[in-house]
Amino acid sequence: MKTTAKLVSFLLLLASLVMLVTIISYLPWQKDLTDNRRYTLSEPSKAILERIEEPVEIQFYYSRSVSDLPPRLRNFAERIEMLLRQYERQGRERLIVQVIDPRPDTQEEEEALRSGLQGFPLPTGERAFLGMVVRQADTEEIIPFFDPARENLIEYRISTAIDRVQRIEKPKLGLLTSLPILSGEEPPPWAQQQEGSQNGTPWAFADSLREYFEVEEISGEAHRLPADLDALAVIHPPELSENLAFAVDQFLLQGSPVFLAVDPSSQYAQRSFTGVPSQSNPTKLLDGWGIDFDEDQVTGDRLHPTQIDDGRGQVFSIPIWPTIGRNHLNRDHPLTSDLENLLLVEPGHFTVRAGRDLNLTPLITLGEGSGFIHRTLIDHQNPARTSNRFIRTDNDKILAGIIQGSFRSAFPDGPPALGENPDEEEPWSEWLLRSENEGLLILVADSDWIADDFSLQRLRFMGRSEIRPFNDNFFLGANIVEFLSGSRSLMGLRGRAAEDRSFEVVQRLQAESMERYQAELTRLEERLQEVQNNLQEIQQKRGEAGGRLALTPEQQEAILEFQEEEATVRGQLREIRQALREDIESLKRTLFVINLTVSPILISLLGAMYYMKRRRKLTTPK
Amino acid sequence: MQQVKPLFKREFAGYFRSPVAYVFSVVFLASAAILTFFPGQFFESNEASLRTLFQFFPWIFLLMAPAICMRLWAEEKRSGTWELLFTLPLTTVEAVLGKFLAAWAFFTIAILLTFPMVVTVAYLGTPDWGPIFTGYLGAILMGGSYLAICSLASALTRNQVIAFVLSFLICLVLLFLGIGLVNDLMGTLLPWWLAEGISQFSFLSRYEALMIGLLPVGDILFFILLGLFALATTVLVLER
Repeated sequence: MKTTAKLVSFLLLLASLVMLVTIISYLPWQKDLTDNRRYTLSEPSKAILERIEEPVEIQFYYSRSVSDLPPRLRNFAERIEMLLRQYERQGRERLIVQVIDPRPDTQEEEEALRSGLQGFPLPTGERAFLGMVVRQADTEEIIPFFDPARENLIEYRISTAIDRVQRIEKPKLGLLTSLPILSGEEPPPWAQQQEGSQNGTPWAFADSLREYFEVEEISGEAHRLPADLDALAVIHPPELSENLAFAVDQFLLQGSPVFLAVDPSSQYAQRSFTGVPSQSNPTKLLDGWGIDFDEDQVTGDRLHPTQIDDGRGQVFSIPIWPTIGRNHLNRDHPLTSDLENLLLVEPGHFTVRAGRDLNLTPLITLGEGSGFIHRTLIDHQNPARTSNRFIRTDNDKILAGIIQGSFRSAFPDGPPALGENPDEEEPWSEWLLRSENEGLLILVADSDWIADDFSLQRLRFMGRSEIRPFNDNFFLGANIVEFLSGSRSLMGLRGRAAEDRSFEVVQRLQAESMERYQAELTRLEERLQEVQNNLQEIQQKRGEAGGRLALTPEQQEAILEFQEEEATVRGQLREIRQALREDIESLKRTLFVINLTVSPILISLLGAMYYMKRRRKLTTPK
Repeated sequence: MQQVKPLFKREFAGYFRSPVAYVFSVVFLASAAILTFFPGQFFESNEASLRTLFQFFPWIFLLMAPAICMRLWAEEKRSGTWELLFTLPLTTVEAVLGKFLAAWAFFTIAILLTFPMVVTVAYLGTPDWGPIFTGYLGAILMGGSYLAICSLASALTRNQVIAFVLSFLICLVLLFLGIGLVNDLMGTLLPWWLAEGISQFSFLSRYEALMIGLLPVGDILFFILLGLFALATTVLVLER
């Protein structure tokens, strides 16, 4: 071949390579082989990306160049980065991801801080960032810090931020309740004249509602829902008019999200003077939708009761006030995954009837220790008697959950007859008998948990009011409201099942050595504390005397003795801590040596065998 | 193509006859273990995955592939066996393929000999097998691209040292294209479409997705196309 021909062929080859590589770079196909399909965006996230109209810009701040970043955090950060790349890929030109490494004392670091990102300090004194800013035009959403403990929620958080940044107006929520959530509690009649009585402070839950929604309260006597609602909250509702119940039914069937809190026994009603009903159960609706809820059964947990002090020093455990811990909560759903403890007060439980086209995701489930009591058997004056009447059943009882799917109307015969003044009402012109779009109902079988009394303390200080939650009830409320305010597609988003890929063997070793040395470690630490206290005491005595007091020879000797002992104890402590690490260090060494040598030894053996075989072949006379 | 198989066999067996090949693979395996455990902090990461190992592959390959391939053609040219090779009933394409496949097979074995790491993570925790599979698959494909490029460099010269340095440099450039700093620099110096186009050729970013458990068709095709291109160019260079 001539040189020119070769050159031309080469150029042609190069051109086709460049062309092909450019084309394949736009190929969207990929297969995700990870467990849980970690890098595959779920349908709701894809739907959110589809809806982007103006370009969304994501700035992912990750202190990549910090050398002392713990390896675990580094891996976590890189996983977020890869997930963001999937967003970018899926969002095509509408989503731009920028990865920024905010090095110390740079403009990038300043921008990160200005945007409200939380830098976290490292043992070396450096500050590292792992957060995100999402922008569209002049709105922005910030994730100050990605928490590695909540890895299963990363997609939810990113998608929520992208969804919210595109929101210009607050959505509208209708509130149907017999509780004074928005207006606050009226003080009892005899207290009204008292000085300083707090009149009408809205519940903290109202703040959450107003943060995400424009709220419109609906009276139980209304016959229709307002026309432009985006979501509906029905919380311990009063008796609903037939037409209003039908309106609620149709709202759900149209596919709009509904939050419903019903209560077999409202503690709040017991204490209130404003005529709050003691029970709520829109039976017709629940029953028609295929949800079984027994309004007379109050559910509880014998193993996780709440301890109540009667004020005279006697403590009762009340099983029908169950304390809900982590193991009762759905760890994989964004509504409950970051909650630790809730207090429900005389809740009920429910089930979804089989054969309906509905999917129930439990949020709060009681298990071992669960049971019930008939509501008429509750004796509020005598908690011990109530507790004795409690029947333990130990089966799973769902106290809260999300029901999704195709609901059937609770009014199979169409709309109810018009009320007393038919002239004032427009007749229903069209209605649904089955969900048009997938319906979504968040159902909680208790309403007391929303009340401030059972969730937080209000502190007033110099004219300012501050809330201090004493459990996570407030956050459950806020999570539900946030969830309702998200776009419809967001609600299908789940947290991923958490994956634990840590070294189980190392954890076991750690636990074993800890067990072995714990007693000794505690004893030594206590001894050290003692010696230090003694030393301090002597120094203090001397200080009190203005430092002029010369130490007696005995004191000097004591100081020396204590100092010596301190050194010895510290030495012993060091040894133990070293011993604690020793097992793990030796495991590391062993594994390293194995990895370093096994394959080379294998190769050498193979080589030797091959050599011998050849030699035999060569030396064997034919 | 009939002659590919015998040539492949001969070349492949050749690796096991040469003490140099043993040294290379031992160096490769030792450096993989050392890098994973020390700078990679595999043990401290407390995560049962091979990510720490995989992230060093592109860098170790940078030395390994030129070392394996440098003698591929340069040696034949220098010692004159090249002339002899082509007196055989063998086309250039067959010769290039046979030698390349032998080198690739040898390299694949070396990569798979890091298997004690797989055993290690399985012992320590519960690994996700998907990323381990895609990581190895990606490493083998990427190794193929490296080797094809090095084979080309070796065909260009009769001096093994020059072949080594040349392959090293080409691979280094392809590797550096994926580093953020270089990308930023190119973005400021070149028009965006050119910078964007060039960054498509980066080994690092093409391997990234495979390393974490994804099988992106685009990246897999990239390694194959790049390899085919380098091999076709090798044929061009050797063709008389």
